Amino acid sequence: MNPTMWTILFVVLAGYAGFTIILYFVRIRPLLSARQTDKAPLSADQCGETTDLKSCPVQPRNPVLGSLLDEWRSTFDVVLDPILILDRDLTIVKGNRAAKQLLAVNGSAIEGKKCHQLFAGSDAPCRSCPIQMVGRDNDSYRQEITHRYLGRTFAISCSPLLRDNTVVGFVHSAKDISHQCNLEKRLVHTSKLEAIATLAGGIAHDFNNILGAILGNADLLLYRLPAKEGEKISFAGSPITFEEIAEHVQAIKRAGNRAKDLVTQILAFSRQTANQRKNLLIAPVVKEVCRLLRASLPATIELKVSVARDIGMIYADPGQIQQVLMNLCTNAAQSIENAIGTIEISLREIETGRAEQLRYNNLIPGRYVVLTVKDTGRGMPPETLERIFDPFFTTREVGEGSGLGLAVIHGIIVSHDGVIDVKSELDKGSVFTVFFPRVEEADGEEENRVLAMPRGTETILFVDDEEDIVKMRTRMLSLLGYRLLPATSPEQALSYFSKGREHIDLMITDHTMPRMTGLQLAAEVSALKPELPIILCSGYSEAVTPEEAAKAGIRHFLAKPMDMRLLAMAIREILPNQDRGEQ
Amino acid sequence: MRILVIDDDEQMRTLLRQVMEWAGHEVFEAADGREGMLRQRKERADLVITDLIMPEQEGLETITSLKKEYPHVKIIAISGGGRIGPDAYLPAAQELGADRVFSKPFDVRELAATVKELLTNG
Repeated sequence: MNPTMWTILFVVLAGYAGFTIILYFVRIRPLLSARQTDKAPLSADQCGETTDLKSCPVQPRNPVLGSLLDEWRSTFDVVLDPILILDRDLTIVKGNRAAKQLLAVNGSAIEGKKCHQLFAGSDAPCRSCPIQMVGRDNDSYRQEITHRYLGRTFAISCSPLLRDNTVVGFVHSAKDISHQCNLEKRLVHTSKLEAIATLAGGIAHDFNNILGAILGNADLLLYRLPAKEGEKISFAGSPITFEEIAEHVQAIKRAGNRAKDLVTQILAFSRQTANQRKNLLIAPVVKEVCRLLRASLPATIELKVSVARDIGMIYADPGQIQQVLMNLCTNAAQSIENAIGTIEISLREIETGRAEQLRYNNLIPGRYVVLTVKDTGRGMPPETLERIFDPFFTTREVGEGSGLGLAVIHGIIVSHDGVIDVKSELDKGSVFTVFFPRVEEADGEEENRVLAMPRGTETILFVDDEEDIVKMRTRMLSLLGYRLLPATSPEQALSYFSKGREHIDLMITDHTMPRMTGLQLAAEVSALKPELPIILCSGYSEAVTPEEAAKAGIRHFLAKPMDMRLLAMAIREILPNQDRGEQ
Repeated sequence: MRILVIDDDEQMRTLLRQVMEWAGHEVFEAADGREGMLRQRKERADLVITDLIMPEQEGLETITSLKKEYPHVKIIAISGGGRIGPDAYLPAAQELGADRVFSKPFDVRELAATVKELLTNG
């Protein structure tokens, strides 16, 4: 939801709540006080003396007063959002009907209880208690919170109740915005899918190149190798050498790895996950997107890419950075008339000061990585420019796009503590400039060291329902010195344990198998041999949570397709105390 | 015969070189259209195999330049597709003067046979 919508929502909510509170304190409370003083003072147990705000159960004798009190109560209760009146110690003095419905346990009263007891089940105030934020400066405070126990998201507002400039309590209202938040998540995902659709051409191009390399090398091998030993090949050309065979096989493997990387990249981008931010080198991400864009955009649009050297790190989610760049470029391409024009993408690092602070929407002075997308498109008039970050605002025809892109981009950039600026001139083009704060520290990424493949002599039970994979892995691991027990089904794997004859040091199992998953197999094996280490292999890392894996006795998880070196290293990590050598 | 292979994908370039060498030709390589034109001016290949989507200079532009400077050189265009929209690159390549077109992935033996046919029959 954009900031304007939030402001309107809060103003309406605060106005409604404010009206009821003002009515109570301006009209009713003074009358009650006057009545208490002049005519029939209330007893301490009825109105309380420790705080001015304690619930007063009295029914006034004055009919006007009674009518006003009824009017206030019914107004207070009719508000659909939960409203609480709290004293300074965070004790609930009053709650409207919605608050009682939300917080009362088995219909018990909420008045007299501490708000944190009901909201968080805690005896101490919550760590980021919005009411405490109010207390510091006596200003109203607004915040969006996701409630851990209720599993819902609320837009809350807290205002101090002042008497003679002294805070006597607080009014706390909470609007359930879970539905809007879910819609917002879907919005981001929809925009992401639009971006993927843009890249479909580039991805297809890459895959066809990879397939070309795999099939071409395999064909060359097949055509050049004799079908039988001693047989002459029919096709012309020199006889194939061992070196050439190895070269073709290596080329096939390299192409396979490229395909694997591409799949990982697409999955990482399309996955609907929460923000996964880390210290990130943005330059390779930008270069990769540009590479795919080149194959996705019409040939008549020239793509100029300029990435400065030694660009630093930013704290960012790589998938969201891809999304920002792709959406900006898609918009740029669509703004270019007849698809004849230029898109310039640049990445550089700058130090900003007072001048940039004034020029770019209060940009805090500091070091930034700046991404710029400039096009020679039709540009935008000032009235369009003012609204481009509004959700669903679009200048496109129906069916040409949702208009979500820039609103989502704006949200992503703001969530990255970044700033986006746009300059545009009609019939000349637009320039989008995005500032990401540069960060200093690396995430401690391990160096990509090339290590010799570690060996071992232990006995490994290898389980996979695909016979070819079992054959290939058992052969590979045998070459490293291990003794292999192959199993092509979970039942066969379990039979090794029931026989009890085999000493097994490690089990490596596939996850997706018929009748029994790798996780279930691991749990059964762990029950029989709790000390046996287990490695689980799967094509989808999401299939098993770390908790489930740990519970089933799994020590290590490997994503498929597996790299032989990673597998060899994982085995030695798990079986570290055995004799080992290097190949 | 002398063959020039132009493709920005290194693996594809290597494969094309191997296929052509296997068929008995001398092969030169270039990673984009601009480099390809420079190489052609130097090596004067009899046949050029060019990719279409490349940085610096695209295949369609390269075909146009080749036909202008070397009208008798044989050209085979190959493409992995890409780009959303009405663009039809391989037919466009043929219109601009490519003698044959291939989509990636392609059969290497068919490519070798096509090269032989173009170089033999003119």
